[in-house]
Amino acid sequence: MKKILVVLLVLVMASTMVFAAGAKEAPKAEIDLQSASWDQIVEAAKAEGQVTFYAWYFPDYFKEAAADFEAKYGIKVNLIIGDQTANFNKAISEKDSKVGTIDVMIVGGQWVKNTMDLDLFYGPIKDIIPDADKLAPSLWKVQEGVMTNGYLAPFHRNQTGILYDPQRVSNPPQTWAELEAWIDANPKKFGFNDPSKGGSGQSFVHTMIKETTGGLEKYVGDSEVVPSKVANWDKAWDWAYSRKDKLTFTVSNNDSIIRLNDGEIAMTFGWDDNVKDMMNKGNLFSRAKMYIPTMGAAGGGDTMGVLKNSPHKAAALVFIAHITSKEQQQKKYEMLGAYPARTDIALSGTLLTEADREANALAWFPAPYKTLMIAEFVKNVLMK
Amino acid sequence: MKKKDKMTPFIILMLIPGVGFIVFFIGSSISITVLQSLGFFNMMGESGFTLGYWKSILSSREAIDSLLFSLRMGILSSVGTVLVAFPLALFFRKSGPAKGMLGSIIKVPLFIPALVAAFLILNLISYHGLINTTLMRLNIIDEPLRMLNDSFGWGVITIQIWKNLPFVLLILMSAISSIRDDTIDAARNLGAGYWSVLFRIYIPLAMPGILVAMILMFIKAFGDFPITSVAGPVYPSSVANRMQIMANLYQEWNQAAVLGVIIIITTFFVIWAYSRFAELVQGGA
Repeated sequence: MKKILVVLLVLVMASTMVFAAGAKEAPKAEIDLQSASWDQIVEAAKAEGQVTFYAWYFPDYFKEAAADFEAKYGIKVNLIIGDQTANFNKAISEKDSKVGTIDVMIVGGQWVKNTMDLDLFYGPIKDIIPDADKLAPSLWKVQEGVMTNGYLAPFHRNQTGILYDPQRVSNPPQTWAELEAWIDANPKKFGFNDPSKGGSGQSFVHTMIKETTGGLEKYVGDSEVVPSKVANWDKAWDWAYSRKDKLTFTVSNNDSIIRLNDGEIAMTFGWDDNVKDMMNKGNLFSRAKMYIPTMGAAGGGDTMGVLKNSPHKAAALVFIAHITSKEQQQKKYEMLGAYPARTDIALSGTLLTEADREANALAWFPAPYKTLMIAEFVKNVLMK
Repeated sequence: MKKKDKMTPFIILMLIPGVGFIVFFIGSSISITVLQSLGFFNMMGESGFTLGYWKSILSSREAIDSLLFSLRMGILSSVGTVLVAFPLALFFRKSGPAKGMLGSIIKVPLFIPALVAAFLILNLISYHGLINTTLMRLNIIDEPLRMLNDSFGWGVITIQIWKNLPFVLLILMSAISSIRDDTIDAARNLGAGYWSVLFRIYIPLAMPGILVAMILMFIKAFGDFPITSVAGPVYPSSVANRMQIMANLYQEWNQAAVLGVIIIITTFFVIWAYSRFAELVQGGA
């Protein structure tokens, strides 16, 4: 029996290797997408007949957008709303196959560095997508501090800021000194999440580093951490550690909002799209206000990328053009309150104004610094 | 002497569904996790043998704190659940008025997913939850207590006990119901009081059931992900949460695999310790 089990185990391992190595040849595109006209790409997309799109949020909107796409182009959309991690694990596990099963996918900030490092996406696509110049220009170049250089198309913008209860905060802070004074005067009433568990907490720590260690300009363009540039980060950790008893640490972006709604805290950092969604669902009182303080808060957005081994690249490009079209961006905003990536749409009822964004929104520092920031915050503040 | 069955092709064919499942699905996933922890099956870079990932995890204070936290949750949750369930199992030993209904109510958490259970308990202990509201109405406290995500993990232990009580109760009830009334009556006739009967009859005779309940509870609580991610402290994370952070946030899949192997090894060790302890108990009885 033991021998049989050993043989079976060997067979399992061997079959794993065979499956891993087995790969079909990718069908060659009949046209060169980089030089073809948009009409030729649309024709090629129709000939491909289908596109598989992976997302992990906004299911109601994407179902409608897919139906609109099918009606407009006659191209079938296989819409997969999966788990974020599972989507990327699938894309990464298929990266060595010449033909993958995903054509186009949403790329969230957390995954940009790895997917770009792994050379997962086809491109650049910026010069192919019509109206590309109308989409958030900075997000075409950099996402979460990672240079994407036109490979990933912006389709959604989001921004962090201070979220507060106006009944309990009469004069919300704009500068770091004002925030510091408010926290000292109102212990435990300002909260933010552990940065290893959500982006709004990362944004607060990012601003904290900016304010306590001399700005963010010195990090621009770095692809690796320069030790001399982070040598004074202990000032930031000392600031947070010395106020540990006056701060409330939460466990997620949503947890911060829930605690604000529950009255445990009066002020926190949040994502505008997340806050709007919580308000729409009745999980946060409608009197809550949000703004970007003059000291700044990080923002960014999500993008869409065409997989290098996509079997329907033309259809994937046409799908991205569809999602980033004026009509669809407007529809997304109306359905979800989700801020469009297009800059040529007039919006009303937004939590944050375009002027606020232009004046006070910060770009994230490069991804290696962000990773270090999260690890060091846990080590120097939470762990102590 | 019993004749040994010969392995015929027919017997092998019949064994394939059971043994095949274990070998292909459980065996392969465990072996891949072990190999990943040693540098093979690397998702992000070059693959090759190295003990570097083990060294990184074993020298990381975050990982050690996570391991100690999970051990604490495993031990206290298993002991706590058995302590709460054992008197209930004694109570339900004999049928009585309303016991059927009570027994049904107490089994409700068995059918509630762990994540939902965590959120239910959070409603009780949140800032304006039932406990704080009651204490404030009774003028016992002036300001609500901050009980969410406490640093020790009492919230996690409470939820583990609440969620797993019916499961442990079923095991203990089965163990206690096998104790014959004659034994209890004989002890009583010989002058044993309630505590003597409890400590010298019920507990020793129910010990195999107690051990099984504790071991299963430990394994559940030690490797728990949903309850600690919702109600656990901000720091440290449980080992399972740490695995998720290492894999998804830092993209350190091999180090996540090391943590996975640590969970597997700890579980096997606890099962081994259980079997040794069970042998000792049976040997001493």
